[in-house]
Order: sequence, then structure tokens, then C-alpha cells
Amino acid sequence: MPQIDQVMISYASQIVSLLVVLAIIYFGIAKAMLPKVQNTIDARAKRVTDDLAAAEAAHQRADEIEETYRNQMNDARSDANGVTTEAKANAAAENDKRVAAADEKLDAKLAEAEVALATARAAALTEIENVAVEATQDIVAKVSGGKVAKADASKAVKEVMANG
Amino acid sequence: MAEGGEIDPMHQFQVEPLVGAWDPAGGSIVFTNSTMWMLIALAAIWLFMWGGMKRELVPGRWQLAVEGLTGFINNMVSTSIGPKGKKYIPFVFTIFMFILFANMLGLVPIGVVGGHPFTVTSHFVITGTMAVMSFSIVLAVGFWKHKLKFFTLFIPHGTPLPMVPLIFMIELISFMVRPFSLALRLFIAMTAGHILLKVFGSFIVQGMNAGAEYGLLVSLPSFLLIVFISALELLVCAIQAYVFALLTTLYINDAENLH
Repeated sequence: MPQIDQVMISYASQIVSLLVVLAIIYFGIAKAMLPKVQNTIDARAKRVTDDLAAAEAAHQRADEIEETYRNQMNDARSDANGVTTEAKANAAAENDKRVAAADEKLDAKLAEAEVALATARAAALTEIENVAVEATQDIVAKVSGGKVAKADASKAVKEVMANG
Repeated sequence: MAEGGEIDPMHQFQVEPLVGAWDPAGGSIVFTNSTMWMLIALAAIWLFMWGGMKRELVPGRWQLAVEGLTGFINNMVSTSIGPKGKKYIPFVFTIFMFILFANMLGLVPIGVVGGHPFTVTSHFVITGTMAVMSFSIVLAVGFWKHKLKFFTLFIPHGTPLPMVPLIFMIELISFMVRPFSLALRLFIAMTAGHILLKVFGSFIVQGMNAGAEYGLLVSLPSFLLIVFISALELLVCAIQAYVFALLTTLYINDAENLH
């Protein structure tokens, strides 16, 4: 086995070259290059964390904006409802007023018409009375040949008409 | 590898000077194939990390691979030790990457073009040195942070008083065995895997040399087996690197957070 046979002859050579090579790896690579690789990894990890945090913040901001928007929408909707109700109430009041005014006009017209009617009826009655008086005078003159005074005839007619 | 007949599965572990020669008295420091493969591992690790240095916000495949591996080591250290473990990441990274790349490079199939990959981590001198480094860090951190209170590591909570000396001895021994288990586990896993691959490889060659019927009977099953063993070895490469690094962090955790 060369490992055992050659120990005494080769140990110094092997150990020295091993130590030299290990020292070069330690100081030249592990101490010089390794931290740079590690820094790159750390920087990337940090960047990813930061980006995730930024995304999270943006997400929250978007949520807030949406919340505000929704609140504004709700406010606007309730405002619009108020305006509509008010407008409805106004319109109803206006309507009532107009109807009342129209009613009043109609009432006035009705009263006028009634007065006119009453006058006409009174006029008609007087006419009928006069006619009846004249008729009575004529009937009395023809039947009895007598003359009846207009006042008497009128009195008799009124009596009869009052009885219906 | 001997020409023709016998194939020596142990030859692949031979450390050969590429420049100069061994001093027979021992202790000589020369540029060997082991040194070369360590440098190749170093270059491969540097290249791999360099590809991940583009520092783009959206990583490409290469950068993602580098970041995945560093994140994996980071995770392992921070879950085992906690926030105080940050200062050990470079060390854990160093041994993990070195073991991983050395293991993997031992499996590169350059044998087909006549090359000989050498598995650096298949030598217990190497794994032992790294285990001693890990163990020294544990001892240094433990005694520097906790002074003599570090010895309470060997007395678990709620141990009845009469049991304390016995438990202390057992825990002390298991603690002292740690560097050996750490070193031997990696060394044996790599050595055994490569011997297995080489043995089945020699079966294929010898079966084909022995004739068509032997080729069909021995070489073909051996070839199928070697495909699966190669896949398994790739897994073992990663697992052994992971185990070494994980145990190192766990041992450091003992020293850093005493109980």
C-alpha cells in the first residue's frame, strides 16, 4: 500500500503542498471571493424583501383608495336620494297648491252660476205670475163679464201658487 | 500499472516526483503528482468560484450553482453553530471545497487518453493533516473561550456523581478518537472506491485478453458494474466531503457553545 510504504519518504512533501494549497484557498478564495458571493445573495434577498414590502404597501394603498371611493359613492348615492325625495316633496306641494287654486276657481264659478240660476228662476216666476194674473183677468172677464182688478187677481194667484 | 499481465490496483496511489527525486532519507519536499493534482483542484475551485462572481440580480446557471454551494455551506454552519459560526465559514468552505474537488478530480476519466488521475484525498497524510487542523481549531477555540471549563464537555448534563469519572474517561477517549475517525473515514472511502474501480477495470481487460467467451462472461458484467460503481463513487465523493465538513462544524460547535 503506497500510502503506508511512502509515508516516511513523502509526508513532508504532501503536508507542505497541502498547507500551501489550503492557505491559498482560504485567503484567496474563501476570504476574498466567498464574501462577494454572499453579499450578492444577501443583496438579492434584501431586494426581494423590500420589493415584497413595497408591493404590500401598494396593495394596502389600493385598498384604502377603494374604500374611500366606496364611501364617496355611498355618500353621493345618499345625497342623490335626499335630493330626489326633496324634489318629490316640492313637486307634491306645488301640485297640491295648484289643485287648491283650481278648486277655488271652480267654486267661484259654481257660486256665480248658482246666483245666475236663482236670478233666472226668480225672473221666470215673476213672468209666470204676471202671465197667470193676466190669464185670470181674461178668464174672469170672459166667464163672468166682470172686471177684476189687477191687484185682486195678483193676490189670488199668489195664494194659489203659494199652495202649490 | 504494469504492462500486459498483472494490473496492480495499488499503483494509482503511488506518489511520484514530477521534478527531482525522493531523498531516500525522507522528509524531502519535491513537486509530485500529488502536488500537481492539488494545484489542479485549486485551479478548478478558483474557476468555479470565478464563474459565480458575475453578481447579477437574476443569476445564470453557473452563478446559481456557486450560490447554491455557498448557501449550502452557510446553512450547514449556521444551523450547527448558530450566528457565532460565521467566522468559521471560510475554513469549512476551504476544507469542503478542497475535499470535494480533490475527490471528484480523482475520478476524471483521463485514463482513456493515457493520463493518470491521482486522488489526493486517498492518502492519510493529507486527510490526517486536515483532521488535525479541524481538531486543533476545536481545541484552540474550546480552551481559549472556556479555559479549563472546556473539560465539562466530557461530562454530560445530569450525570450522577459516582459515574462522573467513568463517563469523563469514556467521553475523553471518544473526543480524542475524533481526528482519527475524521481522517480514516475519508482516506478509506477514497482508497476502497478506487481499488474497487481498478479491480473491476482489470477484470474487463483480463477477460477480453482471455477470449471472446470470457469477455462476454466476465468483461461485460464487470463493465456494467463499473458504470454503477462510478456513479456510486461520485455520490461518495460528495458525501465524504459533506461528512468531513459537517463533523468539523459539529465539533467546532461543541467548542463554541459548550453544552
